[in-house]
Amino acid sequence: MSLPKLGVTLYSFTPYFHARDYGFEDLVRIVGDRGLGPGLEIVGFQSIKGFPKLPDGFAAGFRRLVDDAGLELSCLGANADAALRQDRLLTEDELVEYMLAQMEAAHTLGFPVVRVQHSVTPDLMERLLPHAERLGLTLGMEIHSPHSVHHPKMQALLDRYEKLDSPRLGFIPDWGASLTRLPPSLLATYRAKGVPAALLEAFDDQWNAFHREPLIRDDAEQGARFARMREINERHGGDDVSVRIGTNSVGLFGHMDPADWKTIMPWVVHVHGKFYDIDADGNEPSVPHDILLRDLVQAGYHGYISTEWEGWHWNDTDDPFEMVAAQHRLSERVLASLGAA
Amino acid sequence: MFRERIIVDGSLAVTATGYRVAVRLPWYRALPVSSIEQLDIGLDGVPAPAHAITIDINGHQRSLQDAAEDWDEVWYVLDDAIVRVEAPRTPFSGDRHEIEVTLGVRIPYLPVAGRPLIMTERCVKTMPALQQAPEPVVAPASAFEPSKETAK
Repeated sequence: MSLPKLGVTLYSFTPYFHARDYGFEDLVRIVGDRGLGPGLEIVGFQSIKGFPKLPDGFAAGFRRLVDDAGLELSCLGANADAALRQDRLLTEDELVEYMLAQMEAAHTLGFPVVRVQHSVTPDLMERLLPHAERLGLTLGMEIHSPHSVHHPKMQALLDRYEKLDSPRLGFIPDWGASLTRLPPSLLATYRAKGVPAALLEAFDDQWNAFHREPLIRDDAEQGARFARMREINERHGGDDVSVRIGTNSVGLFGHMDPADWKTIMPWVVHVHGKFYDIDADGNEPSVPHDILLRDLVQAGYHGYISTEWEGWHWNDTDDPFEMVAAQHRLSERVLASLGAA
Repeated sequence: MFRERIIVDGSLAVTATGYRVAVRLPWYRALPVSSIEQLDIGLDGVPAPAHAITIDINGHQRSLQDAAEDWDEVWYVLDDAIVRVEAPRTPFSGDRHEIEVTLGVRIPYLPVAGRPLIMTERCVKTMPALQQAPEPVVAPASAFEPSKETAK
């Protein structure tokens, strides 16, 4: 049985990179040395100064580095920066040109898959398809919280994919869209930092209440949830720092049923294995790896799962390399049990 | 994100005509210069008026108004920006100063209902002022060292 392949996105190591503790090349080497591959994903606008422009010789040097580290390129994270300008959103033509420059860079660097984001509409995806074919790339629309497979934007894309029927178009599930609870370390960290327990409990209760409601279908519903969290913050005497715990919970921690990824499984071209915590038993308390991996294996998915540790948003004590290694151990354990079944 | 890293430690210089400080982007990736939607700065509790503030990114010093329209140039995530404030009529005395920066950046890929998300972070630090500020720390242009094979 062919199983999904593991890997990592360098985004997991953002705290070290931003602090200039490790550079881009250092991180690639460390991922190889510590066996956190084989799949390697990067965010273009993070790892490469001047992206999407690449200086002469850069791509060859990069591929040599990746080869030497024993890694395989999995996905380039492109950004659909529709709000590039302060005065207005980009026009469709401008956004196509903006995405195309990043696709050219992905091709030059040797990445097989490009992550795109939700400002790219079905029409734009269709316009990018001939370029993806020319460049030998597959485009994956990331489904990230607060979106879900059921969101009208994603359903419209699914309809278009079925019409175009091209293997060069697909989805990238981000596991942060289908949590079962708030990450326990989020609440514990802020409690330790002195945020009142009553406020944290109120945020947690509200998240759980949202979890029982229908999934959001438009931006107005999302805006109403942001407003609700701000009200709670105010009512409990929170400040401009604590309010982020509530509003980020709306933006980052999605409520989709993890088993619902099945509905788009034939179109999955890459996976973002988003996670936050590993508990004493080696499990992820809010990202149910047994369900997520079971459904990928049952669908015959054998692409990459890029482990994406985002616990660093609040957790500045655990080592990102250790966290990614622990998530790989969990994934390997679950995949081994599925492979044996 | 990374709000405590906005003001670079040891980067404050105060002169008779004003002050300057190095500032980091509180985000994980490069952003267009025009994503700077808000930049408030103050020293020892004296806020600077917007017209007295300039920001230097990629060796190009510009007013906040010009920065707002500069969507073609990029503030790389590892590069210091230098914020300068002209304050010729405000003498700042003492060896140590409290510097405060509030930075609001537009996240260009997260439009909600056609309006982009703006992340606003505030940072306050107290530090000694230097007569001469250190050079800003910037990442070199993307490049790879020639491999041993090619170097032979």
